[in-house]
Amino acid sequence: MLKLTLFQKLFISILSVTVACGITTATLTYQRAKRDMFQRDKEVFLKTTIDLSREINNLLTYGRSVSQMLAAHSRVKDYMSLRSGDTVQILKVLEDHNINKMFSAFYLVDMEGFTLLSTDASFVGHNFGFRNYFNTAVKGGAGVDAGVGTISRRMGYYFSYPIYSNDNSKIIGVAVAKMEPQTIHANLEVSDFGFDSNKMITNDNGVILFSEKPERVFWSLAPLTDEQMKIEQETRFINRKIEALTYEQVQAEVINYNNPTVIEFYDKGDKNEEIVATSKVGDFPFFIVIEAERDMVLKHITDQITPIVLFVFIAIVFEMILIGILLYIFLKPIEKIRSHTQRLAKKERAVSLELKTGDELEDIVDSINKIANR
Amino acid sequence: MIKNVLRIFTLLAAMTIVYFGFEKLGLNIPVINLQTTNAPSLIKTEWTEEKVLMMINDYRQKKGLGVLTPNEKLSMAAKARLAVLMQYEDSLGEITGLTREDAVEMVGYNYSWIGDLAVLGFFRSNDLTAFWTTQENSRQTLEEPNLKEAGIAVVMGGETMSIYALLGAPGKVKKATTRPSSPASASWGGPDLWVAVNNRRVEFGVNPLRQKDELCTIAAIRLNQILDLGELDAHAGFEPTLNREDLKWISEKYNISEFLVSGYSTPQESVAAWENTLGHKKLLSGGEYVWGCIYAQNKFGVAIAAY
Repeated sequence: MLKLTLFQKLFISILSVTVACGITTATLTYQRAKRDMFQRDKEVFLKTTIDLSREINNLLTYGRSVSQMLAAHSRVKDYMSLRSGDTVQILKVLEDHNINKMFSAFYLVDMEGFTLLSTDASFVGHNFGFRNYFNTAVKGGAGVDAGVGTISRRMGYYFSYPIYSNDNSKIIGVAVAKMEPQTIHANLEVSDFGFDSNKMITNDNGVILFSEKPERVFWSLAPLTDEQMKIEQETRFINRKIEALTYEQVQAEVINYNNPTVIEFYDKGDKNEEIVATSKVGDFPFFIVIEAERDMVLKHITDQITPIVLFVFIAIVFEMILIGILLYIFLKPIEKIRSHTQRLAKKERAVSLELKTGDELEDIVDSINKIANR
Repeated sequence: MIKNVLRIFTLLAAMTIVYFGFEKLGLNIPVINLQTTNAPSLIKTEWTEEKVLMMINDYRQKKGLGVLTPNEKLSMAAKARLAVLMQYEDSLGEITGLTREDAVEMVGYNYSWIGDLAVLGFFRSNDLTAFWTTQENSRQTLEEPNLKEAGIAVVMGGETMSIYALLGAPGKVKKATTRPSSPASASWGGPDLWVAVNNRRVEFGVNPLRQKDELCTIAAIRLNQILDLGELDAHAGFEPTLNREDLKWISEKYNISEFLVSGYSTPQESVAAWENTLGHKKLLSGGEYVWGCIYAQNKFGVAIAAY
């Protein structure tokens, strides 16, 4: 049988217990931290989505208010009533509302949808009667929509408002403000989670208007119904082919929206697990959608936790070195006692052993000295 | 006795700690300042055709020019022109086809010289001649030595008035006319007022305001509310706007003040009105304001300033 010294027994025992407890603690901490951090990341995802929708809501509210102001301007009303007037002055009135240079055009449309006056001269004479925003405004509502311009072929956010006659008895036209998309999209490019993610804006049918992955713009989250496709192609994106991702669950969240949510689902297209947060932008027909691969989120968490676990192991190593040194110091007098008692056992004439430890060992040595001197 | 002194001391110490504690933590409680500038309205001066003519003649006499006598035909033409201006602001006859010259000829007034003066929505208490002399064309008309007669139309409304004066010299041969007067109207907008406010701030030695999108949202909403109402609302809609669920974060982020103005013909007049009222001068001289946004139309202006 292997004979171990007291030092070895104590050291091995302490080492075993410490390593076992350390590993157990580190493993449990790792699992718990991973679970909590994953949950936290999901909450951050959701909060970011809500924050972004709040900021975008502010801009859209602003756009809607500007079109309302245009429609209420006395010169605009007079011009739409009389179909004549000082157009230079009226264009100044329209341009005066572009104080942050957020809008690419303002225009006045008659009840048939023809543009009578515009800060972008290329719009004049064109008919926008097929646009949703026009049809909403001629019925007395405030229209908001996003689409690709038939003339400019560029994306824009459109805000429309009915122009009432001076006696407010009837609608005589529609004032439209077209907002530069970059005004809105720039807000999505600021926040970063520390792992690959993709922030998107979709419309109420789930068609992507902006994506940090540009190849996804004008795709839908999931296949559209024939009716949805008709609306998108005829009134918003003008015959553009709209292909579909395989985000059926997210599409369902958008179409049957209740509250901001974060969901996990398996993406058949990319063959991976995804985390997706969705939030509606105020009362506008737009949604903020943020997605990330589950594995990427977990890898990010693992990257954060691994140094902590390594630190635990390094601490254990240092701890054992310190324990070894302390054990050596505390157990060193035992070696002296052992050789002294061995000499006494051989009936050698012994001198008294001097030991000043101030503890039980000193008491033992005192007792041995008394026995030896009898 | 000592116990009471200690209690008071403890209370004061606690209040101090709470106050400075808030400040150190950066917990500023948003301050909402409500400021309205309406047009000066302490005295509602009554204006009549006679009074306007007297004022014009006073001015001409001071300049060593002959006084004008009232003319019934010119007065009729002036009334017709004022109606056109008030409804369409059509000073050149582009919308209605009725020019100043047409109006004079229609009443059978043969002239060798013709000129006009006009104001729309002008506050009664303001100085009419002082205003006309700031407009080059109107000043030239006032100081035209050949003019002999005048016809004046006045329409009073609330705190404002609209005046149109046709000044002429009878004669069969048309020798000259001055350029038709274009009454100062609602053609100025937010950018004009923004520039006027910031220029005045610089003159006061404080920083010009910088635009913030979120403040423009509030300014735009508020102006729409006032336009819907057709008059200033004494800030009744300001706090509810700030407390809107989707906009609440703006007032949590900034200390916001609102300044309203209405009825002035130029941005400079609006700025002058703000400057002449104690609470509103802050918009022009308050160095604490860093950001702002101004929207204006139809003679209503909303300035939102924040820090």
